[in-house]
Amino acid sequence: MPNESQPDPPPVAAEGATGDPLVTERAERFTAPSLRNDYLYLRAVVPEDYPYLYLVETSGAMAARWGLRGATPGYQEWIQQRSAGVLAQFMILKVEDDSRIGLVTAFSADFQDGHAHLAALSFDPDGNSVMMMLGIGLFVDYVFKCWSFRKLYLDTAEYNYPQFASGAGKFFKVEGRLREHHYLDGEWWDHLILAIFRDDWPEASKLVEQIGSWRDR
Amino acid sequence: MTDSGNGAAWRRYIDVISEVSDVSVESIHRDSSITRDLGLDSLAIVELAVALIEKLKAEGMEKALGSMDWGKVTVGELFDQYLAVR
Repeated sequence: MPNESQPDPPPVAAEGATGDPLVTERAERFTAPSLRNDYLYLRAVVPEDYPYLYLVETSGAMAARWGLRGATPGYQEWIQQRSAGVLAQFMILKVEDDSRIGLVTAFSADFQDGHAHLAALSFDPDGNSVMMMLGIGLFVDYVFKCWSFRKLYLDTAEYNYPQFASGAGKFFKVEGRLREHHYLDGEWWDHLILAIFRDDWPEASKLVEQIGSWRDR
Repeated sequence: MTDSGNGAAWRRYIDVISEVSDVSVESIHRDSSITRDLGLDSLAIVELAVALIEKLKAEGMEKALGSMDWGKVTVGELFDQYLAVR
């Protein structure tokens, strides 16, 4: 059917050889999210990591306190479980000797409502907390830069909470509590839902940036 | 408690520890554990590390702070590290 009454669309503005100067300026200001500082770096989990992770998660110091909660699924079943719903997942490694210090994961992304879940596992919970926190900080920064999430949730059983409770109000907010949700060692423990907000992150991340740049001075 | 021969440095150092941990100066001793006795968790240790560098100008501690086994470190051991590099 002829459509003579509709006007032609306005012409697209012609751009010069150098493009729109405003876009050029923005592009120059853009910095790619970093997966490295002077102390550590993040790299994607590869199949060669699986045997190590399987042993850590089923038999390491945190086995009963973390994701599997003491269960030991078969190896193939574990591989399928650990990749389900994962958006991004990295090993945290030390620059000086490439040793693995932890694992960070973003999963259950909800792009409609703008949130995702985070998980972090330290392979040596009694070891270097500063390195692990730096790694988590790099990862949160990376996730906020790559996707437009408003908030990132962290779920934790209350028996793990004292390891990072001082961050409440500074790095995260406590958004929910399920009473006596977990069983461990003869006791019932609450389940806490924490959230890191995009709007709060620039201020919260300053500590991480300070340490990460020490060697740059 | 003061650290013999380094009284002024010890007091400045303990003031920083006290401020970050919210534990009184009188209750902090050389053998106090950073985690068990002062109750610093992972994020508080990050704050302590930054405070030591920024307030004591102890920039030589950067590498040590990043590689310490914080679960075992005492206040005295951290002070010795500070003295060694300042």
